[in-house]
Amino acid sequence: MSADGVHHRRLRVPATPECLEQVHALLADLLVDVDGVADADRTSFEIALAELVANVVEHAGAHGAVGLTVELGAGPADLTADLYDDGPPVDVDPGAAVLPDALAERGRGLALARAAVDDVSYALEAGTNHWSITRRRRA
Amino acid sequence: MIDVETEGVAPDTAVLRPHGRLNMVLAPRLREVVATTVQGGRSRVVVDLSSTDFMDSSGLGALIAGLKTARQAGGDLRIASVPEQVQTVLSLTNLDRVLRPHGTVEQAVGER
Repeated sequence: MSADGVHHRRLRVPATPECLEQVHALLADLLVDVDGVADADRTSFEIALAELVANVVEHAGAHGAVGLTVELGAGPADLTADLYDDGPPVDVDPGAAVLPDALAERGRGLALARAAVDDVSYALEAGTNHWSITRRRRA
Repeated sequence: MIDVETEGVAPDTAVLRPHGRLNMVLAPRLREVVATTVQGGRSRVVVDLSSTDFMDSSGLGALIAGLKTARQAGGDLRIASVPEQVQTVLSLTNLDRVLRPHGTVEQAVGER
């Protein structure tokens, strides 16, 4: 734990479908350290985190070995995640993501992530994709 | 893993039970299982989510695909025993009216 009461966890994995289980486990491990995180905060944060990791994995798909770094933070005020991957640059504006038609079979991931947390952002930083999410704790 | 249960239900009905996380790993399998089940004559599909630890948008997409497959065959797809996390995903995507949660498998099977 750092001086500001924020706990951290970090993981570096190949961006494959199997890494999703490791990311869920990393979050569970982090939250053991933090008292009183409300179920709604945890659930919403985990939904957004899983969507963004799945996006990275899907985007990495055909591009060979892509490495993904996941950094999680949990403090008195909020839950945060930063994802860094060296896959191809993403052309997307998270702020513009909207839900598709009710019977669409795909295309909900980013809109769902945005609805679940307070902030979702993306930046290309020196050739690295950087996604970050913040969920302010309600309880 | 997805259990398929056809014992003790009508010949046009099947109960599917996904285990674990219904995400990009398991969602393609659910699509296949629904398609095979409907092709086999059981177009009234109930997906029992009591053993589903977590569902993401790809799992949701598989349920929508299954709903369309079942309806095209004159049947339906219903979800039952929906955990809180899945309920949250349905609410956030405004799909709780398209995929209306049923309390139990029996209720989902019984309603005609």
